Amino acid sequence: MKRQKSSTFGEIAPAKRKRIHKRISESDDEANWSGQEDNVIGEELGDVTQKKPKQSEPPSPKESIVKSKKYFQKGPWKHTISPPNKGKKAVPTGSPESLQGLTFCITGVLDSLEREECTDLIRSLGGRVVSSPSKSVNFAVVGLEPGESKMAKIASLKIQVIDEDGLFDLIRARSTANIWKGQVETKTKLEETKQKKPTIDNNIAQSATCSELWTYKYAPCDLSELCANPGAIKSLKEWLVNWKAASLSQEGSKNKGKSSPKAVLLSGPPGIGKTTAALLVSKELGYFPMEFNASDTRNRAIVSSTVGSVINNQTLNQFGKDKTTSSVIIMDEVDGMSAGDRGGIQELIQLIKKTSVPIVCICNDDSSVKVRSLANYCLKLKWRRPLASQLRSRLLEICKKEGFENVDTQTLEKIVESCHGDMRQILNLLQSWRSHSRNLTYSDVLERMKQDGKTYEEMSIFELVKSLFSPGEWLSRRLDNYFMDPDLMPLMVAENYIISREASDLKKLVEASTSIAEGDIFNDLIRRQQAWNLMPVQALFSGIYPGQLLQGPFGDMIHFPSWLGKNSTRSKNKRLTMELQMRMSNNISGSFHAFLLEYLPCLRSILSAPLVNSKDGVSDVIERLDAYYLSKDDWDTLMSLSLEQKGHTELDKIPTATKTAFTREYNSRDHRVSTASAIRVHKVNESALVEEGESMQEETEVVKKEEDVQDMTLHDEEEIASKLVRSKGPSSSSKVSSKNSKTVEKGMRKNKKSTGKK
Amino acid sequence: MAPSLPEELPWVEKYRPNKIKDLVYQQEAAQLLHNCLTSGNLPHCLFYGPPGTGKTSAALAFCKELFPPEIYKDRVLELNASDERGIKVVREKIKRFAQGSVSSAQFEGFPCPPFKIIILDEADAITPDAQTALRRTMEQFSKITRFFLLCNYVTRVIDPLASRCAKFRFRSLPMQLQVDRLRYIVDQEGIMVSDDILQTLTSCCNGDLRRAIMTLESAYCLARGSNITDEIINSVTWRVPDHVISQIDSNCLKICSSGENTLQFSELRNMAIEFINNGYPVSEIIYQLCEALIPVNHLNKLQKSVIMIKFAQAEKMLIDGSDELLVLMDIFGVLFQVYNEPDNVEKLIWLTRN
Amino acid sequence: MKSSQYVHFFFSNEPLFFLEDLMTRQGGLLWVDKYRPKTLETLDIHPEWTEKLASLCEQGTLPHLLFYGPSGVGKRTRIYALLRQVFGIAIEKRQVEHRFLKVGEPPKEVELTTITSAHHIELCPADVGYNDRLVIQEIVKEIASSKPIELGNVHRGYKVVVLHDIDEVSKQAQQALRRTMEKYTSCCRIIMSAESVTRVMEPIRSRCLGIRIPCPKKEEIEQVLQKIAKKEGLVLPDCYANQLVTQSKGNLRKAILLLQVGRAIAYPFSQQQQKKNEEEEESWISSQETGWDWERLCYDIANIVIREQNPKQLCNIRNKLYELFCHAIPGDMIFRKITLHLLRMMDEEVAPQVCHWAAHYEYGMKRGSKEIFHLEAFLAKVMYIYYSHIHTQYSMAWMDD
Repeated sequence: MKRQKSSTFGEIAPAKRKRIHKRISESDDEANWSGQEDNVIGEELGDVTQKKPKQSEPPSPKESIVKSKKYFQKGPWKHTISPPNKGKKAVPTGSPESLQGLTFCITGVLDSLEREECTDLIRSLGGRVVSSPSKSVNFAVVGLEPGESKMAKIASLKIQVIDEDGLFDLIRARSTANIWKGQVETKTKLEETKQKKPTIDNNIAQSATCSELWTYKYAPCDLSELCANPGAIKSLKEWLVNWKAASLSQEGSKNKGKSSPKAVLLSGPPGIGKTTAALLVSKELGYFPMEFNASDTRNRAIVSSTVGSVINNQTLNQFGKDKTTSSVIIMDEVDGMSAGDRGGIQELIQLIKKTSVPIVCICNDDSSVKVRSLANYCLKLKWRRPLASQLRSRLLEICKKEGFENVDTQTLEKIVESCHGDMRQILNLLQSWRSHSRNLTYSDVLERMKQDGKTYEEMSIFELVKSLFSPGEWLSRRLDNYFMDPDLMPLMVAENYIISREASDLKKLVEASTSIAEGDIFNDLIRRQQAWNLMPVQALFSGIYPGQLLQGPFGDMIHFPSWLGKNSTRSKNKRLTMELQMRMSNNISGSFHAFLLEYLPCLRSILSAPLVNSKDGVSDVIERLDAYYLSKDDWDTLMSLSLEQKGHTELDKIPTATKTAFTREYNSRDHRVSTASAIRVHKVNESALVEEGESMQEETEVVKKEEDVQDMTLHDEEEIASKLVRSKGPSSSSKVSSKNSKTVEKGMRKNKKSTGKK
Repeated sequence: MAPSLPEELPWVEKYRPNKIKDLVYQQEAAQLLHNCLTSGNLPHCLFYGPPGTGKTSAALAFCKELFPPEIYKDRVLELNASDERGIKVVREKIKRFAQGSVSSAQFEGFPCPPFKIIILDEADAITPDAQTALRRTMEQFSKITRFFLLCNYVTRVIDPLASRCAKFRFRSLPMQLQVDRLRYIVDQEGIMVSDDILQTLTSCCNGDLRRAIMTLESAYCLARGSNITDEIINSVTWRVPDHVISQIDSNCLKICSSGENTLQFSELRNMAIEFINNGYPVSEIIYQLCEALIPVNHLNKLQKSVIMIKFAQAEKMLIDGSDELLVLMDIFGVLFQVYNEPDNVEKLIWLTRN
Repeated sequence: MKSSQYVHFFFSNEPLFFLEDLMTRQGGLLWVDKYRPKTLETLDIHPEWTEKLASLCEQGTLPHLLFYGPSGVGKRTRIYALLRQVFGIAIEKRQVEHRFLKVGEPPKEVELTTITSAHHIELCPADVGYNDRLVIQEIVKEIASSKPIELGNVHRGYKVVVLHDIDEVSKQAQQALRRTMEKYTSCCRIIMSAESVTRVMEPIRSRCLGIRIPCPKKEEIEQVLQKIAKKEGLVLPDCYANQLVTQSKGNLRKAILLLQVGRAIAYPFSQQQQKKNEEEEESWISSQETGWDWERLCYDIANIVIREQNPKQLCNIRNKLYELFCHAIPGDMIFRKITLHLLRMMDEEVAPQVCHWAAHYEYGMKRGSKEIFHLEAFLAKVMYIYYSHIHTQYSMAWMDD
């Protein structure tokens, strides 16, 4: 683009030309940037105040970890403090190209603009914004509490430091200075377009006649055209190449079956080319792909009949050709195998075991419930969202072909960013825009994104919460933000209101917490009586009002609601307790609560105390367990339910030697197990059982996985949670539940044994 | 209901009136039903009123007089809250019954009019959806089917249904009538009970005759041949002993007369814990305390109204399932402040906030 | 098809537990179960009811019964003793069944645990949650549909349905129960137990004989404890027994359980004479040695509120609340414990307010679904009340609402 510009300088008056040329060369040839020229610009801009940045705390290691996991979401951790004078300053409009050729770097919290807003401002005026200072940076826009390392780098590179006001001055100064220049440039541009017009018209004609979807038109037809995930594609290719060899060798010696997985599982977010890659790779290696996707019914019977028949066949094209070509089965959207496709996954696993054809499975989320069992039998390959830089050149090419004008890389990057790297969506968006305009400037994109509602999607749930607490935000805007996720928002607010800095005012804190509690009552009304018209009321109580009361910065980073994780732990513990109670119910008396509140703690003490001091207590404890039909695993469960603090639990007090002695002694004796308990557990894995049927023994692993999953999704809110937890990266709740599922698993295993015996 | 063991029937069933003329006090309804027996003309009926005033008895007795036992089952469908009465039942079971044609067979001694009767007991517990579904059914088959809707709260029956029926309000039975009825039962059973006891019994039951009869039976069981005493009445009517109630008032008085400096809320607190430990139902405490406090002289009108408002709030909380101990302590807290500061109007009014 | 498999499975069970089995296995039982009275005559507390209940059984017509009273006073024990009186030793032959019932229209499968004998069935309808109404109808109909079994000399014209925790079941279920009770009177009796009779609706109450079981008196508890100690060959000093009695707050089960925990952890019991005044009792209760773990956590929370009032402590409290929450400790119990402890520690002037807000927020909790929010709001409120109480001489805090 820059080169284009410099080629048009021939038409500019010689007197002015020198100056412009100088500026262009400044930005073009970054190495030439020197202190002397620095002064020139400094004079031109007048006084630019320099503030000494305050010392800020170094970002905590946790923060940086989280940050690195994000691709496009500008996480809330970058700056948890909102600008002190937000919205109070007039932002200069400036002429469209007033910052052309300048590069900025922003650090710290600016006076009135959010970081995002500032970036948008600079970009819309033609400037570039980079995240870390380098030699090419002309100005560093520094706000409150800038990053330390950045400041050090800025100082060492001698980059000119300005604050927000300085930036505004710069814009004003440059836009006035550029008026005449702008005129000249537009003139040149007109000429330029005149010159180019014929070719563009050609293109338009082409694209107009072609009503084809761009997503198909520009679908890569060659491996080299795939922009992202070169690593994953490479390993997919390798796997397929090796598969041939492996399958051949396997036919010879069948013992080696387990060495390399016979299927591969591609996972990653939608629209980033998984299917395309799979198709292309198989084509390139001379395989004939057979695709099954969500439009096909894929329950057990159908999978086994259709796919199963393919597996042992050879393709028709193969006859007469060399023996190496064969087909590849591509199972697309395996996580879409839902209720209607009962047993489909299990059947697929069976097929994978005996297939003579490579199978490629594709899903969006490889940790999802349905796919997890499948994943054990596959080579897992993760597809990542392509980075803006990877897509840029391809997009640029497409835009040019389709006849967009004034396309620059920053604009494209912005589009990529707001679509989270979803190539398919980008193309669809571009196509729709192309239908009514051929301009694609930065401000245009921003405007359209807003119209198409993309701006909200850009905000993560953490930012949405912050917006509820940010002063000066419109009520309607807050409501909109709340309703981006009305299920999670009350929990988020309840989790985080307490760390608002305003919360140190006890009275406000009380009011906020009361309001949240009232909101919960409304929530219940809404769910129980289907009174959806009360939703805004709930929004006011559990989101807007607390936010209004405690508006202001947060003192800590925003947390994901712990309620969700705790709630699944609670239901798990409740279930464990009920199971214990039921097993003992013949000998004890009292309601569930009495059992929970009195029997449990008592049993914990009595069943652990004899073991604390000596090993003599072992038989005592075992006798007691037998009296109540409890097993060693029940004993473990009992101890795990302790409320004592970590390190002080009953279990911790027992010496390890005694524990092992206890286990040994217990296993050496015969025990009677209450049959009632075995029945109960049946219920838990009921659906798994139905699916598994006869092949149960072989697949205990899989069953177990599905079981705890079922346990976990007791509550609909939990489902939301698990979804969110996965999408937002690891959080505490998932850890908790997985920890707990272990204990359940243990119980299952044992109970299975006992039912098996019967 | 097994006829072979009549002596095992509870008194409520045993002494249920079998004839319309046995029905006491509810003249309007009795008049209508009686007319119908002779003329065979009957509108849809909606009986409403407090429990134990004879709604079900009237409907059942009427049906028994109308149809002989042989065809009773074909002509009368009785549905109550213990049966499934969702919209599906209305659409299928009720409709099927309503559709069926009737034979014109006549039986000696029974009017046997050419229609069927559907009795919907506890109609206010039918879901609004199902009630809506009932509207059309009622009109469509009105030639051959009549409906009796029985309920406690007429407001819970949707208007379109209510407007299709002749409404009869069953009033609470006056004390004397109840005592008479109880006396009749007692005589039939051959038990010696003094009139005083019967008086107290009925006064505890708020005009609910069924409850009175049941309580009497329970008391009789419990007394086992010996005389029925006040103590037994207390235990079978769920009442809290009077001395417990008066203890609250006297304690509050004692505390507030002891002077401002030695505020002793903890005493009231302990009393609340003790009540709960004794298992007294808090709803009953509220009710009886309310009765006990209205006539006292040592409280002024403002104080009394504040207390009553608090009672009302507390009852609502209890119905919604609040913890009894906390509610009771809340009440005592209010009592404590009301007794202590009888003249602080501002604060007293503030106490009634919700 | 699916369910039939299971049904087959359950009903093919042989009774799991016979009388002789019971005898041999008693050694390992907790004392509270081991020394549970089996007959009406051996019941230690409330002798006044024993005679009346016995006479009720003698008559042909046992009315429907509703036992009510606080937790741990022996409602269930008494029900068993009563059944034993009615049906004789046969009632001891009990069987625990985990059943899947198909109820309602369209059929829904619910699971529940029942304890059955030839003469009775015992269940806790509240366990099935939303479908409790259907379960009650189904079970009672099922029982009523089969004739009472005549076993030798024992012949009663009815079977018994025992419904535990009737106060926990929904309004609809209670509605359903009222007619059911009348309809099947001829062949079955319903015996219910409830902690709070307030939550049992009037029509049900009026259909049965209420039997109030109050907390045993202190002396009674002490006697029971001494009796057990004697049978176990323990030396139980009076002062220690006294402590247990105070701590159990009238809950006999708790007293016996505590005795056994004490035996396991710190035997021989300390002879030390504890002072009986209030403060000493506090320190004893809040010390780390006694009481259940969840109770101690509740006390901790109350102590934090008293000690310091700021958001940081509220965060701290929230963590502790979550710990209780994770272990499924019911919210109303937490409310009770915390409130009582707060009242004990706080000045008398603020006590009525604390009571008010406790009731207020607990009411909110019952109407809402996320217990933690309400508990937290309550504790924040108490913090605020207490803070303004300490920091102003003449408290006008009651005016802030």
